[in-house]
Amino acid sequence: MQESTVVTQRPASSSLYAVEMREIYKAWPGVVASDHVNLRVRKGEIHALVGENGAGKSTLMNILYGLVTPDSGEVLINDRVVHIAGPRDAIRLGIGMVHQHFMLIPPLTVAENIVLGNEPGGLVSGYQRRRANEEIKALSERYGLPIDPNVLVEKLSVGQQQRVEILKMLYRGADILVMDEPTGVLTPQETDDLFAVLRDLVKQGKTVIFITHKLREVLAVTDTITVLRRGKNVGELITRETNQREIARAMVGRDVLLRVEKEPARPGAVVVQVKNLQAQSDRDLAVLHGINFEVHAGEILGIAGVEGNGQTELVEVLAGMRKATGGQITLTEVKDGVAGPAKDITNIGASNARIAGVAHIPEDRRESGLVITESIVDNSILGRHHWREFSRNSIILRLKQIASWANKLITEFDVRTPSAVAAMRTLSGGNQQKLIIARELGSNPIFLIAAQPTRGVDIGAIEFIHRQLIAQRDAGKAVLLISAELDEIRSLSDRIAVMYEGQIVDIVSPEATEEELGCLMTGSSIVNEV
Amino acid sequence: MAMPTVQRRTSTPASRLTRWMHTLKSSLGRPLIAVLVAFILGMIIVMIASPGALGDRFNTAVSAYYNLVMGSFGNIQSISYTLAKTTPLIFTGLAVALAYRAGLFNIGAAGQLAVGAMVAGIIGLKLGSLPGVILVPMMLVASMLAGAFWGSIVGILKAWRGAHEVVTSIMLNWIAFYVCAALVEGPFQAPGLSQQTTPLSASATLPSLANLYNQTLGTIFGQIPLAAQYTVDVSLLLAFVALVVYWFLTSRTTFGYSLRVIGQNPKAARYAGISVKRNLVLAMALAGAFAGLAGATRLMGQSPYQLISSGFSSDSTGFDAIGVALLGRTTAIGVILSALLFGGLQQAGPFLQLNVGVPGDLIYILQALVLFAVAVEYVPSFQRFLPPFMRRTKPVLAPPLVPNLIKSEALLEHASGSSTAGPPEATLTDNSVGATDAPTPATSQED
Amino acid sequence: MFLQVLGHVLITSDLWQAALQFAALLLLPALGGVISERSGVVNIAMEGMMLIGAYAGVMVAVATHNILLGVLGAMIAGGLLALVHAIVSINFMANQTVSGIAINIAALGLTNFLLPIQTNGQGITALDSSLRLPQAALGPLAHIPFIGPVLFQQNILFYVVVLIVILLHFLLFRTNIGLRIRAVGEHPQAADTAGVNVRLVRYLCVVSSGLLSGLAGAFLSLGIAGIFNQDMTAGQGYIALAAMIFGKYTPFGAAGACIVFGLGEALSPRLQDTGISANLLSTLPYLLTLVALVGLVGRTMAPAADGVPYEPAAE
Repeated sequence: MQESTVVTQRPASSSLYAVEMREIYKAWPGVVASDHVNLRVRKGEIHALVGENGAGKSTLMNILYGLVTPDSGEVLINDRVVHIAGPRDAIRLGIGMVHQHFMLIPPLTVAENIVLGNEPGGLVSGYQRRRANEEIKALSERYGLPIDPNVLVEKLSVGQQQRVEILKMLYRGADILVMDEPTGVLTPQETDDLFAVLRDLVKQGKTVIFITHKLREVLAVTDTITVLRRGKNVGELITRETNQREIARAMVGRDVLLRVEKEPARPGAVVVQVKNLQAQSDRDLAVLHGINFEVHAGEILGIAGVEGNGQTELVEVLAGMRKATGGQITLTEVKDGVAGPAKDITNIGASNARIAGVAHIPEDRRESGLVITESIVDNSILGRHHWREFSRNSIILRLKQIASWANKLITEFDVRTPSAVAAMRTLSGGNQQKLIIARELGSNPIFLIAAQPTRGVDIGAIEFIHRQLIAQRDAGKAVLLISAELDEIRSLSDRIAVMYEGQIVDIVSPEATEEELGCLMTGSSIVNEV
Repeated sequence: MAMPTVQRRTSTPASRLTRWMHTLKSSLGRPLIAVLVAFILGMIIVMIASPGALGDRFNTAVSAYYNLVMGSFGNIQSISYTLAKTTPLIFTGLAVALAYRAGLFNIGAAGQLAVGAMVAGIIGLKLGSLPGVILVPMMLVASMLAGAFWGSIVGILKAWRGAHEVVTSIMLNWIAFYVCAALVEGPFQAPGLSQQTTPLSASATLPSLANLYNQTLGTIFGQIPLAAQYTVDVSLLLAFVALVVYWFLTSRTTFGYSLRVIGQNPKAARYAGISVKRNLVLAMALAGAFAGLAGATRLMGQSPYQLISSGFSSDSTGFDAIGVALLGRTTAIGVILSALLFGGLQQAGPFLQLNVGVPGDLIYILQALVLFAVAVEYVPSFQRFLPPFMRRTKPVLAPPLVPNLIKSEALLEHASGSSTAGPPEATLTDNSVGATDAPTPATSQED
Repeated sequence: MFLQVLGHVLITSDLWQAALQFAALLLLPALGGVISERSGVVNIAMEGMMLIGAYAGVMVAVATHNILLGVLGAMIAGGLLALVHAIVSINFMANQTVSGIAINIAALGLTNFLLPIQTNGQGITALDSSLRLPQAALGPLAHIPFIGPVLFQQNILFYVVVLIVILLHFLLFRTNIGLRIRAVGEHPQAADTAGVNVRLVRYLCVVSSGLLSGLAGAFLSLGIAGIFNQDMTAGQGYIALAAMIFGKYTPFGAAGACIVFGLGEALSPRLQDTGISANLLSTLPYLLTLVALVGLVGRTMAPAADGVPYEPAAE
């Protein structure tokens, strides 16, 4: 079915296109990633490439950068048809790309990272540190991107690393800069800085292609927008003539519910009590500095914050995967509105936490929530294999019970699979996600931790997941929702705790404005900022 | 039919059979191809190395392979020899396979075997006067404990210090070889000899299967004549017990389940609350126990029933085991079959020189070629000849025969890092399942 | 008794001469390991490459009556075996440890298989001195007491090794090529997107490790032993592996480790009267490396992408 999306036809312009991609077709086994896609980017503009996960944005840009070879279609750079066989070709054509995961080498210095592949003096030469440093200094002054070339990259903050990536492109003389989801790891302040840099670069004649799925940023910084959906062009819009709703409709193909429908919460007794919780990161640095909050039965507590402020560690400590270095977590089962005795679940381990009634939807579900090479049956008992239902004396597996449990999850949560013994990797991403949710909810927990539950899934699955979370809340469970998407936090939560640098800076109602939340997320109090 | 019924797993014997056949096919297919490729390459090597016209060379190669088959499985006596060579390969093969299930590459089976043999030998020599019923179990158990100790060092260093198991295994192998050699040439040296111990007393040895039969069932059903020429000893039966134990551990217990999770995805193990450290050490200890048994049973079951100082480092069993485990895809059945292959090769090697004039060391070249063929994960050049829809993307559709275990974490990061450049994860696997997950408004209207 | 003998032995110049000769022999494959692993390809096959080099060196030298060609043949043989490792692990993405083991088995099998065929079952007799790598005294320097015999009356390859280790350090840490090698070993994606040809770099590094190991084989058979025996490397490739790790994947570190290990090897025959078992002394390199791995003397860290096959997105 073809939805009619608003496609603003731009008058054919005689101005020069920096990048033109015509009828790009690329199929992977079983899926068409790019279905005759067209992209035209004018010289000197910031062009947004938007779409949902899996819409084909990255594939298209990887084709432009020579990392993926298209099956058909042609690429024009500055009106000339080019063949880009690899990054070397792309670099020569003046294309630079900042990947979503930075392509930096931590134990090398900033200068070494920047000049790599294009070193002063040529390949057969000693490494000319002074010359490299001078060139970088000149570059960073010209574009207003200060950086010390002698520092090791591993010592830099995320924002500084991104600066190194941009310098890397500029050093190579890139005129066309591709930024793949550049703001995901940045604080709002760093994001604003980045936008200023991008505007500056455009003023100096560069062209920027900005890949994102955050519509607010599209409106804030870009000139034109190309929307992709499921590998197809669905819209080409001019930023100042459109709005968030229109872009969203083009991306999704239908009107998007901006708010989740739900009854008002009827919170009960306190189920989870977190007191002065402290923990360390993988590098043994303190990341949680005395966290305090409580979650009631029948409510969703949202945790908002810029990623990297301790949310991951907080979830892991609550789920028993990481040791708390101080503080206490207690869990109280509430039955029919009557609270039972409080149980201390601090540092009891992930296994015991599950027995106590904690369910955990992990943020990197494919990486840690599943063993994708194993069957659905095996995955259905991940973390619960030693439960009495599934093994005798926690030693010998009860294969029959496990199989019927897996089938129950498949039926109840509508996991689409040819068989319960199919390997997890043969399922679609959405169905993999469903199995995790089925497993975690199916064991009737009293406290549900949902970390980034909708990351990387399509809209249909997002709605399903949101409904499930609301249903858990309405069934009287305590739900903790951690999400980087402010909209998700605001529409689902009954209260919002804002996390900044390992602390809960405030707990506010979901009616708080975006600006208020944004201020809290950057550590500044509302009064000071406004 | 209002009741929600679970229809998916009505498993009839017939369906179970077909499923089993499918498993068999998929697990045998690639190893068979690997062996075939190795043998064809080996044939080419023989043809290059042998003298004469092309036809002569071909004949030499064919008769070399004929002798390999006849020398290993040609008659009952050679089968018996082959089985005697197969037994330690089964034990060590399991030692490698078990560790592999947990994502560890145990190339230290050689050292664990040496330590096992040494400790069994020490007990056999020191307590040789004890009756066999006590002495033999003692020696076997001690060899398992010694091997387990040696193996667990690797596990401990890996779990608590992150030291790479391949490197520590190599170091521990050589330490074991030299320490055992020092013991054989030192306190346990046979009087008047320099590099070996005295042979074990009869009570410390394992009887051959033929002798055992003659002394038990043979008294009723008739004797096997010339029993002395059938050398395979009762440790073959022990090897079968070990195989069953291995199968049960890996596929029927929570321990085996935990190992699988750890081996396939250490992050998921952490998420699930499975103790990675404890299980790694346990897996390595068990692996070491298997390897230790290999050392003890060969010392006790095969002549010359004595330890030789140079024998520890020159024994290739611990390394052959890697081929056995990987070619057998770490399954119990696979380990038996590939141990038979490798054991047969080793038994038949000398016949090549004797009957065809081809040096018997050809079998090591064949073993190396098998290893290469097993190690190769995918062959890019083949892909170009396939139409696009048949091309396989390595990580998704073709399960690797030998997953790269080195730095599994690094590998994971590598995978997630490259996902931006590669095809989108979620959609890539959509081919077998409906693409939309939850009913969209459009479909619900149709309902 | 023991300390007395040890003290006596330690001040003899022939001990140190032997120790440095062992060290130089071990250092070649260790440097091969360094360059291969720095580029991200695990190489435990120095043993096999050395063995095939030792064999080819002797065979070529005998056949051509030319020592230089012998050395060249040794290097080429080692390089060819390394090329197999490179193809299998870079193009076919094989498990590099398995490939390494296979190469070690193959080298042993091949040399044992070819030796009787190529010599009609006679084996090889000790080489004529004209076909051996000579000792070279460096002029007046060789007459300095103690230091002269230790440093300047060595086999000719000793000086080559000293040169190689300095050059390799310079190459790895002071040149653009070295920068690329390290980048490829740490983060191949990053190097690739920066325009570095990851596969080419890895190929060159792995083949170089074979050339160096082959040269070590020539040093062993044409230089030190003057003969080829079956399995004559006897685990020295593994000691080199240990030295590489003990030396923290750096040329100078590996050189230091090789000197320590070489001293151990040189000591063991000289301490026999003390009752110290030569076998036990031989465990020294491995024990020390284990200690280093455990982190008691500073952790050794392999390059981040060591052993991980690189798969460009476009395939």
